[in-house]
Amino acid sequence: MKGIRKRVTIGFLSIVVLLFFSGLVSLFELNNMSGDIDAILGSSRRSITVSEGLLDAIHAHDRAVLRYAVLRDSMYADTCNVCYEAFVDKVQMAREEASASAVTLFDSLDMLAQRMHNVVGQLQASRVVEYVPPVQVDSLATPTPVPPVFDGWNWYNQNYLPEYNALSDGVLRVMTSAHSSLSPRAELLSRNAYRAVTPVFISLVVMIAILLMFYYFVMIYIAKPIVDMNKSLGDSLKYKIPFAVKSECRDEMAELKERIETVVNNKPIRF
Amino acid sequence: MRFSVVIRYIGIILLVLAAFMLMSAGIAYVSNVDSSYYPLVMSSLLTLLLGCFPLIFVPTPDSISTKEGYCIVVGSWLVSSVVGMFPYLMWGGEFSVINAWFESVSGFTTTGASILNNIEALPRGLLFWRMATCWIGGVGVVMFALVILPSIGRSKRMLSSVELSSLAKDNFNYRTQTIVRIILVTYVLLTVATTIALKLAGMCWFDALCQAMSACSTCGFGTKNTSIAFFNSGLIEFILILAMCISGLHFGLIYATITGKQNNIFRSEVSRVYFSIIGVSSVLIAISLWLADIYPTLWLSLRSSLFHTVSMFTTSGFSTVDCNTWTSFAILILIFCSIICGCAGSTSGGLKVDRFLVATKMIRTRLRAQRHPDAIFRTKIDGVVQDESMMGVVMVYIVTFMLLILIGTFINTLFGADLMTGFSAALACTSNVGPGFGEVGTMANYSLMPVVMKLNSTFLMLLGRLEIFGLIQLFFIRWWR
Repeated sequence: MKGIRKRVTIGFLSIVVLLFFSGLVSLFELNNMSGDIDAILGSSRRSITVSEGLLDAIHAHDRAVLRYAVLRDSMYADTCNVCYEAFVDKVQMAREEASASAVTLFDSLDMLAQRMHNVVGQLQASRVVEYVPPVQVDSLATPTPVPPVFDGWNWYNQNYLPEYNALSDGVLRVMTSAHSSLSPRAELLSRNAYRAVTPVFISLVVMIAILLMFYYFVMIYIAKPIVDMNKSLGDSLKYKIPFAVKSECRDEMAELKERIETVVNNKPIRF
Repeated sequence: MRFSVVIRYIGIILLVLAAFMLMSAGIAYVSNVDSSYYPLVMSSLLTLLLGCFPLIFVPTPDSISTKEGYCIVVGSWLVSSVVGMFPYLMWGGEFSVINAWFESVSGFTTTGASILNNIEALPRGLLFWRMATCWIGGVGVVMFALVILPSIGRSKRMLSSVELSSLAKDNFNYRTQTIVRIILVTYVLLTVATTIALKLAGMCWFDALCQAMSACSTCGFGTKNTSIAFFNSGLIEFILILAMCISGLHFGLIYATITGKQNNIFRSEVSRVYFSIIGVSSVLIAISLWLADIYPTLWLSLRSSLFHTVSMFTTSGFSTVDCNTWTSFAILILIFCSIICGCAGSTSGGLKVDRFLVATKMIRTRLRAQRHPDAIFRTKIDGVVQDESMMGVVMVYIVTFMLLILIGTFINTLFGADLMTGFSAALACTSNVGPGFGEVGTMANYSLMPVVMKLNSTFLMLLGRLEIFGLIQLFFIRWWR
């Protein structure tokens, strides 16, 4: 293939390549975007599951403490410890699955849980919950000093509740950590979305530019010479004006022009 | 006017740009396939396609007219700036369409003004492309095409005469092809020498190459947020001062000095004025800073003042400190340096020392003529009598240059900039210096400027780089007839 056919084919092929290229780019970028969205959703789902488990564990601990300290059911002393152990185990499991940036959050959870456990431990060590004041039989006898009766509600509100609240807040922080880390991820995603559109948009602009050039070149190197030759040939046949084409001719067009010139200028024209 | 011919030559220049984009993609690939790799590869393919297309259809013309030459040169700068946006836009980050256009124009015109708040966040491939734009722009996009592509043939003379100003051709007595080769060889050798020197001074290879490209093109783009202050090294500053100083000289004079020709740097009147301005300005600024207690010792004042004087005077725009904290006297001298700038035939922008010298000599001649009305006085530079018409052109250029700065300041202040910021931004962009004073100071950037101001600045950069009249002519309808 050569001459005009070659040029026109290359012109069209360039446009096809560009179309294929922009399609490929959009597919590639959409694939990346889809991966990022999956990662964001997965991370969000994981953090909710972990937080749910941790909250269940501290709620169980809270119930046990209420039973033990407020309702003074000493049977729940061990339950408190078991619930604490369960919470620590859940934190440990979550830490192993967490990303490096989230490890510090679990460290602070550990510390808060330890402080809460210490508060309950001190209560257990003092054995004030189990203490029952002796019954005074002889009212005339000198009263022996009796420790004040343990006020469970007061202890719960003043000593335990602040620690419990701090731990709950810690768990909430773990839950929202995935969402706060979503912010840069979301930013990245928005940039990806922007990038996904930009290459396609630029390819489109380039394609329009190439199409315009193609139109221009076809007009000046193919259409215009044909129109000019046709007009000039018509004029020379009709008015016996010498055949002359001003527009630039290339390849077959130049050959055609030369051949018409030879035919028109050398051979007598019959009307 | 044959548009097909204009498109063909612009296409050739696009091929050169595509090659540089591929090189940048190579850097991105070597840097563990960083995030700029795909944008650069994609951009180079698109640019290649865009550049190749006209070559399929348009045959090599026997010659090109002056009009076509102007259109090719101006069109090349404009199209290069548009195509230069592709990698930035595809990468994303801080690059919106306006920001990418600003950064691209700033690079190609070697202005060195930036909209980036965090340069260090850019991947290496994109950093290299940023430097490549200014390195190509330093010597002129058309000059690259003239050397690399022999197919341009007889059109070389026309294109080089349009690309190089008449003053730039003064020191060359060679054929067009030789002139182009001399400029390119001097430029490449200077860049290589600066790279090696910076590496030996303690920079890594990448930083050394990038800073050398930036210094030799007198652009001032950096690889660090704090520009040269990041390196905190007297030796690096000294090497850059030397590189900037040489790049601000006429390349023909540098070549003549190296090859032992008679008309060299030491004999040229222009280069004597060039070095005198640097010396006097540096000393005056140093004394001013020392007296104002901005620096504890005179030596430190001199080091800083010399660096910034050379940086502003050669239109590089590198910085080691925030010049806004300097005295008003020092700032005024730096503004004066930003107006005059380097020599013609160098990579620097601005008014040029040559024109300043002609203007001052014309003033002296005028004064002498007033004293002796019947006497005939001639203006000479390096012993050569200057043509009256050429001197007229110089004066027109100076007036137009000042008018442009004034109009630029009007527009900037109209859209909310304070007087200092508006004026210095207009001046820094027209002279292709880059950093100015106020909110666009040496340690700040153009990111907070409104869109209109950014567009105004890019227009001024292009006008300054194309020596005003080349671009302005395209806006006259009569010119096209």
